[in-house]
This record gives sequence, C-alpha cells and structure tokens, in this order.
Amino acid sequence: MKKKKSVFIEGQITSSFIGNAIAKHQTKTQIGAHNIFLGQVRKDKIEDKIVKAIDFSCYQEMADQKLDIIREETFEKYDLTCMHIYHSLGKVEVGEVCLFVFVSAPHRPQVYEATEYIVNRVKEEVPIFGKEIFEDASYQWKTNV
Amino acid sequence: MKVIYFGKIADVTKKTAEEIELQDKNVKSLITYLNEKYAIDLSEMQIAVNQNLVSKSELLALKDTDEVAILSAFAGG
Repeated sequence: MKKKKSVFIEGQITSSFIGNAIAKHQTKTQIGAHNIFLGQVRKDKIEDKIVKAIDFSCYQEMADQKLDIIREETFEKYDLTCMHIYHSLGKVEVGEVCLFVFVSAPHRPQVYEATEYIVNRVKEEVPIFGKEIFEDASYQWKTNV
Repeated sequence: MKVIYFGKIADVTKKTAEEIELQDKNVKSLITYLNEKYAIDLSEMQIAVNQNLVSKSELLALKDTDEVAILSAFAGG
C-alpha cells in the first residue's frame, strides 16, 4: 500500500489505459465500489482566444512527496482498498484526459468523498504547472482558482 | 546557493536554475533579488525550501545546501 507509485504519464491518459486500470481490479474481490474522476482539457475561450492544448510540467521531487502525503492521509481518513492517481505531463489537447483518480472500497459512501478529497488536494498542493496554448500559438499560464 | 525555477517563473527568467549569492541568506532577500533582477511580482511566486512551501514574509535563513525552488501558480487537474 505504501510503495512508491508513478503518477506522471507523458501526454494524454488514454481510454485504454483507464480501461486496463479497471480490469486489473477484477481480482481484488473485496472491492464493492469504484469511483473515478477524469479531468479533461476544456476548450476555454479567454477573451478572443481559444485554448487548443495545455502543456503540463511539474517539480517532480516535490510533486512525488506531496502525492505520497495525500495518498497516506487519504488512506488514514477513508476505508479504502486502493487508490490510484495519474496526471499527464507534456502536451494534452482539448478533449483529452489529463487527470485520472481511481478509488476503490468495499462500500460506496467512502469512494465518493475520497475522490473529491483527493482531487481537491491534488489541485491545491501538487506543484504542477500548465501552459494554456491557444489556437493562434500564443499562450498563458493557467492558474487553479 | 542554487535556485530552481518552474512554470511561469522559468519562462520569465528564461532559465530553469541558477546560482545566486546573497549577502543576507534568507527568503526575504531572495524575493527582493528576484524582484529587482526579473521584476517578478511577489504575488506571482511561491517559494519551496527543500520541497516545502514557506511563508514569503518570513526571514527564514537559507543554507547553501537547501534546495530552493521558485514556483508559479499550481495548475494541476
């Protein structure tokens, strides 16, 4: 449970990756409920410019450390069988998935709350940076609000 | 000491790391230095010392062995 996991994936998180992650849990028969959150790059319009992609980067050592803490504290707070967090690095186009949080437990109520808790903490505490690239090739740095 | 830059900060400084020698080795004088050299506004940056965010107002002393990182706003998710 406490082993180091790799969170970062180069480029988009594909639906086959997500499907495989679900399939891997069929052997964990104590699980009765899964919950999944997928963050997708939105085609935002900022003033007159339209977002085409987000280019993600991170401060890896600090990000890994923060994610370990989030993982540990989530397990302490909720009765979960397992949890997985994946985030993209590099360029992710609009419509593609850049965050995948997957929580599993024996029973349902825990997984809803835990998912929300994890997503909020990832957004607030993990040093991930995103450059919003517009259709005209200009860009701006994204800020989580 | 070695200072590393991420996100928008690396974009503004046009580098990902540099050696900075400060007279007074503390967080506050580092902020003053960055503001003077790169015109980075205090509100645009966060400072992590050894992978932990620190308050920008404190006179926290910095050692040459510390890993000091200047980060822009987080945008994960």
